[in-house]
Amino acid sequence: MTNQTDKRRMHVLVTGGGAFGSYVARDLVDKGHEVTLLDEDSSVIAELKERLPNVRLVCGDACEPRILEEAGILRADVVVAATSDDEDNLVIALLSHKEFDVSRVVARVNDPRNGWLFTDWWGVDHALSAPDAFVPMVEEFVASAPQHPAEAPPETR
Amino acid sequence: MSAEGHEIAIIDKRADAFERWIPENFVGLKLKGSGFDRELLERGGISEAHAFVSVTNGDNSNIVSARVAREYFKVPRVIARIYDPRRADIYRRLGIETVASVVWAVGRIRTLLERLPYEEESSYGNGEVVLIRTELPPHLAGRKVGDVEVSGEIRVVQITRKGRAFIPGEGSVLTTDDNLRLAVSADALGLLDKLLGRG
Repeated sequence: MTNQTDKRRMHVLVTGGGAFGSYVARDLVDKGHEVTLLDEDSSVIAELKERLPNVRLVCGDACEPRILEEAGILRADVVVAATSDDEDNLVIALLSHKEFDVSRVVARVNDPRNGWLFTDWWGVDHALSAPDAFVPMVEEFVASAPQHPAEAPPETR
Repeated sequence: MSAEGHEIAIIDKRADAFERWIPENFVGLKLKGSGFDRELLERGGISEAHAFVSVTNGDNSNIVSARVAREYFKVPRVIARIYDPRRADIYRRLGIETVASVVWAVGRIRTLLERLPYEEESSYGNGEVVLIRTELPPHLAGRKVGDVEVSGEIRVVQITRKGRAFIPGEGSVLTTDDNLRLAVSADALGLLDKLLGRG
């Protein structure tokens, strides 16, 4: 590795080993970052061991400060709160920011109705909300779709 | 609290919770949804609420809604329940009062188990006040009655000494082998344990 890539190698802590979290972890490792993934379900961790050999895996509750420390949060440049529970992601973001001074926190919004909470008030630097990202695309797609002939004005029939 | 005339709004994720747990004569608002849904909280009148109580079975949802109530809606009193006592620290740092239900229940069970030395003679109302009979613990001999009394919580109502009963004054001195009858508020039983050296 060159010096330049060394400098940009980040330590990222991902919490939540579901489809989203594990996909993010794999991608970041492939890009050359150091990644730790935390999940409280030991069967999830066991399964990921085979799929993500280059990711450091830790089993435990990410909402508990002691577990976050064990997972190396004090060395983390970025925390990705990626569980499927919004309240868990908010608590993880808050702890990362307030208790451990992590400089960048990215959090996943599962239910867009909770999106208003995912701001710096809860220690979130960047919110990832799939529905909010998709809706404009769907709107655009709907607007540009051809109209059903039965609904079209008579002159265009 | 609703029956006492307080104005209550309840939020629960499950609609069946209302049917199962809320009595038919409940007159408050019943709202189905999440405890940190801003729109729902506003419909429940959180902006004018004097108190907010978060007692879901998820510690993290209690943290989130309690913090929302306190910091965003500025509700003056916010209380949350936690199961995992290790999280109490986080709540405290966020300025939220907690009731750790597991710790509380364990403490209460211990108190009940260890309170065998007392004889509970009678209880009044719904058990808010009890009359207890106990021998004077040796370490209190020579102390004044006022030393074991707490205004509004513990009163020595009667002493039997050498077969003779009397009603003591605050300045009466306790003697070895005294047999006491105390009127105690149920909330102060823990305190009584401490005073009698059983805590």
